Amino acid sequence: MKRSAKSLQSNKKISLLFLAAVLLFLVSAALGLLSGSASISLYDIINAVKNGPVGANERIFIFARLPRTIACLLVGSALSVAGAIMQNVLANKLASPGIVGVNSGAGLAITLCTAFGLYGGWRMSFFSFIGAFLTAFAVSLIARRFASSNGSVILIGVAINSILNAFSDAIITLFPNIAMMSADFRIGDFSAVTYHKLLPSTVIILITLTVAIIFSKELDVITLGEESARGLGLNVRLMRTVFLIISALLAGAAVSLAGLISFVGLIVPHAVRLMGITRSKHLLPLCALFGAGFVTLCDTVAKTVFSPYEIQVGIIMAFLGAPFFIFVIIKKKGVRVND
Amino acid sequence: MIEIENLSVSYGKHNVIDGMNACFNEGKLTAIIGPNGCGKSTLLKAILGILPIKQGRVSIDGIASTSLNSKEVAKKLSYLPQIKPIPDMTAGDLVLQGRFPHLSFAQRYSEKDEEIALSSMKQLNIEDLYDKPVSTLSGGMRQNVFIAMALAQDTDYVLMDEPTTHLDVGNSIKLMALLNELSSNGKGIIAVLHDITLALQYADNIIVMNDGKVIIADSTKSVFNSGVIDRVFDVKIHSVGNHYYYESR
Repeated sequence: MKRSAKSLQSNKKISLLFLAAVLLFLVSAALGLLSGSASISLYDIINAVKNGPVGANERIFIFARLPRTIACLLVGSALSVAGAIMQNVLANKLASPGIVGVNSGAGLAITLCTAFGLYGGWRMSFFSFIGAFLTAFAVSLIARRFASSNGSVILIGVAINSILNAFSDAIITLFPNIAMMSADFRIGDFSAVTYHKLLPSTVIILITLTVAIIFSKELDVITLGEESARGLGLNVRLMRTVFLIISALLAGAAVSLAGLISFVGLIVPHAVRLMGITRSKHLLPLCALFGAGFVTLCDTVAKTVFSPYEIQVGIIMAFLGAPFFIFVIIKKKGVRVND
Repeated sequence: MIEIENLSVSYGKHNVIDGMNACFNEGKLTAIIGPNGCGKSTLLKAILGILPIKQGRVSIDGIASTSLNSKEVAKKLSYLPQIKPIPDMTAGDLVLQGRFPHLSFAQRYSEKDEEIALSSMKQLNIEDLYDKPVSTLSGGMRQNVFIAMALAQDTDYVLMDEPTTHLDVGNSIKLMALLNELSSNGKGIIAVLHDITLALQYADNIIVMNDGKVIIADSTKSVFNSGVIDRVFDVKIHSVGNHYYYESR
C-alpha cells in the first residue's frame, strides 16, 4: 500500500524546513559572532581560536561574543521547545513559559537566591529550575482541578505570573542592593553572560532537549486528551509530570542565563506550526533550531540597531511578541471547533 | 472474553456501578443502553482501568485487568471516548497514534504502522482526509477519524462510548454496519449507545443498565421481547421486520 502523493510532498517540505532551520541557525550564529560595537574580523576569530586571548579583539571574541552567541542559541532553543511542550500539555496554544508564569517562577527563585547571597552557576540553575517547576506544576494542577475551559489556564497563569512578580518586586524593595535584579534581568538580556553562568545551563539545556525529542511520541499522545491517551496505554499523570519537569528545566536554565525573556516560547512554536508542522518529532527539533536562530538574530539587532549603544533583547521580543499574541488570539477565534 | 464480577465503581462515596456482573465475547457486538447517568460510560472506563475499581474484578481473556499494565491493556482493548479535544495534527497522524501501544520506548512509527493507519482509514472510506488537519474537519468526519484510530490499535476488543455522536443518520448506519462486520470477523465490540433502535437493529447482545446495575443482559431478541427496555426508558418499542421505532407510553 502506497502513501498518498501529498504525504510524500509533505516529507519533502519537512526536509526543506530542516535545511532552512539549519541555515538560519548557522547564519544567525555567524552574525552574532561578528556583530557588535567592536569590529571583529574573521581573521581575529581564527587568531583567537589558534592563539587564545592574545589581543583586545581576541579577548572580546572569547570572553564576550562567543559565550553571548552560545547563550542566545541555547536560550532560543530552550524557550521555544519549552513553549511547544507546554502548549501540548496544557492543551492551549497561548501557553508559553513567559505567559503562564514559569519564567517568573524561575526569576523569583533567582531573586531569592541573590537576596540571600547564593551566587554560583549550578546553584542558580538548580533554584531556577525549582522555581520554574513549582510554577508549572501549580498552573497545571489548578487548571486541571478548577479551570472551566482550556482558555482558563492562561488566565490562571497570568494571575500566578502577577503574584510571582509582586513577590520579586517586594524582595527587590527590601534588598535594594540586588545587582542581579537590574533592569537587564527583568527585561531579558545577554550582555552579562559568562562561561561560569553558561556551563550549567548548556549541560542542562542540551541534555533536556535530547530527552524532550526522545519523548516526542508521548507528547503527541498527550494532546489527544486524558481519556484517549490513557486508552492508548499512556501513563498520563507520569508523562504530564515528566513534560512539566522538561519545560521547567529548559525555562529555568534559560532564565538563569538571560533573565525574563518573554514571547519566544509563543512566537517560535506558532511559526513552526503555521508552516504545517504538527508531529512532535519534527516540531521540537525545528523549534529548537528556529528558536536558536530567532533569538540570536534579535540579539544581533539589539546589539547593533543603536550602535554603539545596546538595548536589551527583551525589548525587541516584547515589540514582536505582544502583537503576535494578539494575532494568535484573533486567529484562534477563526478556527472552527464545532460544526 | 471480558468478564466482570461483582464490580463496584464509585465517585467519592456514591457507587455509580454497584455489584455488576456481565461478560462480553469476542465476535459479538454488544450494545450497552440505559438512561442518562446509569453508569454506562463509567463501566467502560472501569474495564479500561481509567477509573479505579472499588470492589470486584475485571478479567480480560482470563487475566485480571489489575495485573496488566496500561500498555498491555491497550494492546487488548481500544477505546473511543465520548468527549475528545481537537488535537493539532493531521487526520493521518491522529490515526497513527493508534499504533502507540505497540511501540516500545523511543521506538518510532514504522512504515508498516503508517500502512495500518491508512488501511484503517480506508475501512471507513476516509483515506482522502489523511493529510487534512483535524481542526478543519466537520464533527462527523472527526468522529470517523477517531474511530479509525481505534481500529488502527488492532485489538481484540473495541470499546466505544457513543460512537454515533456527531454522525448523521446515513453515517450512523454505515458505522453500525461496519461494527457488525468487524464483530463478524472476530472482534468483540462493546458500544454504549443512546440510540435504542440502532442497538436493537445491529447488536448481537444488549445489556440494559439502570442505576448502576444490569437489569438484563441477553441476546437482542430476548431483551426486546422481555419488555425491559420499555420499562426502563418509559417508552413503547415496536418492530417492523428488523427495524424498530418507539413512542411514548
